[in-house]
Amino acid sequence: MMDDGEAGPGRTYRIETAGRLSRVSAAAACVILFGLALVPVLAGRYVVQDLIFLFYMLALAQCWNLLAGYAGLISVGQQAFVGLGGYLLFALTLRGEINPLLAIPIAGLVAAVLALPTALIVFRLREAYFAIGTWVVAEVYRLVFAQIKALGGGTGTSLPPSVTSSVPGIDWIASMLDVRTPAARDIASYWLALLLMAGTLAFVYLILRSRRGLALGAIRDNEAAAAGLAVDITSVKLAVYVATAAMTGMIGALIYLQKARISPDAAFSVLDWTAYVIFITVIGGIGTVEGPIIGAIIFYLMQRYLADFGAWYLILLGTLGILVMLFAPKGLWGLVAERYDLTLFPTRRRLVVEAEHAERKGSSRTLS
Amino acid sequence: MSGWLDALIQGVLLGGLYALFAAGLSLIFGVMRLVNLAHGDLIVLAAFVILVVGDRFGLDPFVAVLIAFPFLFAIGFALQYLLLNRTLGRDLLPPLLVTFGLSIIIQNGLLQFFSADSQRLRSGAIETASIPLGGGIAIGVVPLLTLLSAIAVIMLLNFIFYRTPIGRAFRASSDDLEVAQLMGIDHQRVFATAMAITFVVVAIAALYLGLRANFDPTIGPARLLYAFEAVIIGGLGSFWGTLVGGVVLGLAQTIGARIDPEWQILAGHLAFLAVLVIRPRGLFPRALD
Amino acid sequence: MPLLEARKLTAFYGDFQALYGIDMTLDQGETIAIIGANGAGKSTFLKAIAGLIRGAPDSVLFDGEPIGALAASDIVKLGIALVPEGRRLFPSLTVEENLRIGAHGGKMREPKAQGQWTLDRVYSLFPILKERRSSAPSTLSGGQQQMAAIGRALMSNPRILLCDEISLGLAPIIITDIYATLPQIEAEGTSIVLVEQDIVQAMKVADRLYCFQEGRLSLAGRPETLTREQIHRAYFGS
Ligand SMILES: Nc1ncnc2c1ncn2[C@@H]1O[C@H](COP(=O)(O)OP(=O)(O)OP(=O)(O)O)[C@@H](O)[C@H]1O
Ligand SMILES: [Mg+2]
Repeated sequence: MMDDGEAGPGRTYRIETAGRLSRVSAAAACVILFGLALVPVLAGRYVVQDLIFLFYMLALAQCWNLLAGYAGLISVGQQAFVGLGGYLLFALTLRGEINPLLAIPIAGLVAAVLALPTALIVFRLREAYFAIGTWVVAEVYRLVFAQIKALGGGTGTSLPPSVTSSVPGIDWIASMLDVRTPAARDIASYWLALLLMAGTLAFVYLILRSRRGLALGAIRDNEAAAAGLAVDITSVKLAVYVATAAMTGMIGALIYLQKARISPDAAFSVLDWTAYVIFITVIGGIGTVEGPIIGAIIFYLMQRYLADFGAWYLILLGTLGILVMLFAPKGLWGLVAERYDLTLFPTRRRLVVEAEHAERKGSSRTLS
Repeated sequence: MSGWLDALIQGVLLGGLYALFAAGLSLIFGVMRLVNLAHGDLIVLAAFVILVVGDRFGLDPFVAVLIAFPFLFAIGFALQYLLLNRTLGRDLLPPLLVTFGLSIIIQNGLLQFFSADSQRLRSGAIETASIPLGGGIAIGVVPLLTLLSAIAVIMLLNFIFYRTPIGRAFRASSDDLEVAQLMGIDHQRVFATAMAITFVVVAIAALYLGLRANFDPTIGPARLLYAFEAVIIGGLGSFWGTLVGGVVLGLAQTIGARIDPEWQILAGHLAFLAVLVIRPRGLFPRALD
Repeated sequence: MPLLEARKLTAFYGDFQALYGIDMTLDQGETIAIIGANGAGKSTFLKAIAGLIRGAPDSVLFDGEPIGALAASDIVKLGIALVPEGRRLFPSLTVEENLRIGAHGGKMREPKAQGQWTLDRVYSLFPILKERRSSAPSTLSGGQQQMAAIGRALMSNPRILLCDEISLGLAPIIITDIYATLPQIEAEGTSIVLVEQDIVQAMKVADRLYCFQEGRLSLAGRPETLTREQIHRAYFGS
C-alpha cells in the first residue's frame, strides 16, 4: 500500500502501465510478422490455408477478448457481425460489382453502423441477459438474410471465380511466385488475413493503452474507482462494441471471400464464430493480449488433429473450457504470467490506491 | 377471419409450451441470478430421457416422465451442487462459460448416442385428438394439455416460492446471501434444490416438446432463446409474467406464420426486441430489484 | 470454562488484515460490550465469530469446542446468532417471514433447558411487530426494523446473541426501548455480545467492556473499574 501521509478525502487512484519489456516485444512482434509475411514464398498451399484459418480465428478472439475481457460485455452473438460482413461482401461484389478489396472495409463500416441500433436494444439487458440478447439479435440477422432471395435465401450462394480473382495483385502473385491462380488467391487472402490479424492486434492493444481503454479495464477490476476516474462508462462500452463490430465485420468479409460460398446457417453459426472464439480466449487467458494468441494456437492444433473425431472433439472442447474456467480462470497464459510475473503486452493496468480512507482515525501506514 | 382467430388460439396454446420452457429459467434466475445457457439443451436431453425410459419399459410418455422425474431431480441437484455452485460469484463469466460448455457437451453427447435423426414421443390417439370449437376451429388436446400444464406449473412454482419454507429460503438467499447463511441456510443446498426443481419442470417441458413436434439433438439453443424471451417479455422475477411472456411470444410466432410461414421465428424475435425497446423491464417487472 | 472464547483471532479481507490476534472470553449469562472507532474491526470480529469470515478452527471456542473454521450456517445451529449491522432484513419477505426464517437453522438444535423463543414470544417482546406482521420490511421504521432483526435472530434460540450496533441511527427514546428488552433476553439464559458506538449505553448494560483500536484489543475490563481517560485513550489512540 502506498504511504501517503497527507491523504485527501476518500481514496484516490492512479493507473499504472507500461514497462520496458513492451518495447522488446514490439520489436519481436515486427520480426515475427515479417517472418509470417514470407511464409507463402516458402511453404505450400495447405500451410497457407491453415494459417489463414488461424489468423482469422485469432483476430476474432482478440475482438471478443476486448469486448468481454475488458469492457465486460459478454456477447454470445458476435456471429451476427461475422455473417453480416460475409453477406455484405457478397452483396457488394455480386450486386454492386465493387472490388472485394474495397468491399471489406465497406463491410466493416456498415457493420459498425448497424451495431449502433443493435446496441441500443441489447444494452438494455444487463450482464448475462446481455449475452443471450446478442444471440437473439444474431438470430434475427440470420433469419433476415435467409429471406433475401437475391443472396440465395436459406440455401445461400457462391462467389464466381471472376469475383474471387479480382482482388488486385493476384496476377502479380501468380507470376512472381510462379503459382496457379487459385493458389495465388489463397496467398492474397493470406496476406489480407495477416494484415487484418495484425491490425486487430494493434487496434486492441492501442485501445487498451489509451486513457479510456485503461479506465475501462480499471473500472471492471474495481467498481469503487468508477467515480474517481470520471469516465462515462456506457459511452466507452458503446464505442468498444461498435469498434469490435467493425473489426468483426471486416474479418467476416475476408473469411467469406476466402470461402467463396455463404449460407445463413454457416455465416451466423454460433458454434463457429462465437463458441470457438470464446474457447480460444478462455483457454488462452481472457483479459490479456497474449492469452488469445496461445489459445488460437492450441485451438488450431486441436482442430487439425482432433476434428475428425466429430462430436467427441466438441465434447472434449467443452470439457476443457469448463475445466479451465473452474481451475485456471485466467487461462494458460495467466498461469504462465503468474508464475514468472511476465507480460509481453503490458495493458493490464494496475490500479494503485494512493490514499486510504483519510477520515478514519488510523493511518494505513501502521497496518501495512 | 376464422383463420386469424385460429392463429390467435394456436398462439396462446403455443405460449403454454414456451412458458414451460421459461419457467425453470425464471426460477433459477430468481433464486441465484444464474443464467443457464444449457437450459434448452437440458430440455432436449430430458426429452431423450423420456424417450429412452418409454422405449425401454414400453411405457407411455406420460408415465415415462413420472419415472424420469426422480432421476432428473437428482441430476439437477448434483449438477448444481457439484459444478454450477463453483461458478457463482461476483464475476459473471464463469457461470456463462461453464453452462455454454455444458450446452456443447450435451448437444454433442446426444448426437453421439442418438444420431441427428428426428425423434418423437408417441402417445397414441391423444396426439391427434382435438376438440372442435365450431367454425372450422379445433383445439388439439395435446396443445391444450400443454397450456394447462404450464398454468399448473406456474401455480405450483408460485406456491413453492411464496408459501413454503424452502421458498422462503429461496427468496432470502436471493435477497442477501450473507444474512441467509446467518439464518442457518446452507445456500449450496438451497441452490441445488432450486436446480432440482427446475429439472422437474424441464422434464414436463420436454414431454410436451416431444409430443407436439419432432426433436433432435440440435434444437436446444433455439428453445433457450424462446425461454429467455418469454422471461424477459414477462419481466424478471414474476412467474405469472413468464406465462404471459410465453403467450406473447407464441402469439407473435403464429401471427407471423399466418402472414408468411417463413416468418414464424423471426416474428417472435422481433416481438421480443420490440418489448425490449418499449418496456425494457418487461410487462410485469417485480417491484423490488 | 467460558462459554465463548476467542484466541489470537485474526481476520483478513483479501490481503488486508482487519484483526490482529484478538483474545476475548464470554461467560454463561454475561453481557459484554465491544466499543471502538469506525473501522476498528468490531463488525469483523462478530462476523468471524458467526462464521461469515472463517479462520483457524481453534481461534474460536464455543463450549470448549473449536468452531473457528465452521460455516455460518452451521454456527447458528450450534446456538450463536448475529444481528447484523444495518439490520439487513430480507426485503422480499414479510416481517413474519423474516422472523420465521430465523428458525430455519435453530429448529434443528436440540431444545435446551432455557426457554424457547417462538413467534408468539417474539411478538410479545415486540408487540408492534405483530401488528406489522404482513408488511414489507421497507415500510417499517428504523426502530421496528431493528426489533425485527433482533427477533429474527432470537428465533434460532441462540445461547449467544451477537448484536452489531443496534442503536445506529435510532432516536434516543427508541434506543431506550430496545435496550429495555435486553434483560428479558438475558433472562432466558442467553449471553450477549454488544457492539456499540454509543459508549454510555454500552457501559450501562455491559458486565465487561472491550475496546478495539485498528484491529487490536486496546482495553478490557469491568466498566466500573475503568476511568474516562483510559477509555478515551483506548478508543482514539494517543
Ligand atoms: N468487505 C470488506 N472488504 C475489505 N475491507 C473491509 C471489508 N469490511 C470491512 N473492511 C475493512 O476492515 C476494517 C474493519 O472494518 P469493520 O467493519 O470491522 O469496522 P467496525 O469497527 O465495525 O467499524 P464501524 O464502526 O464503521 O462499523 C476497516 O478498515 C474496513 O475498511
Ligand atoms: Mg461495524
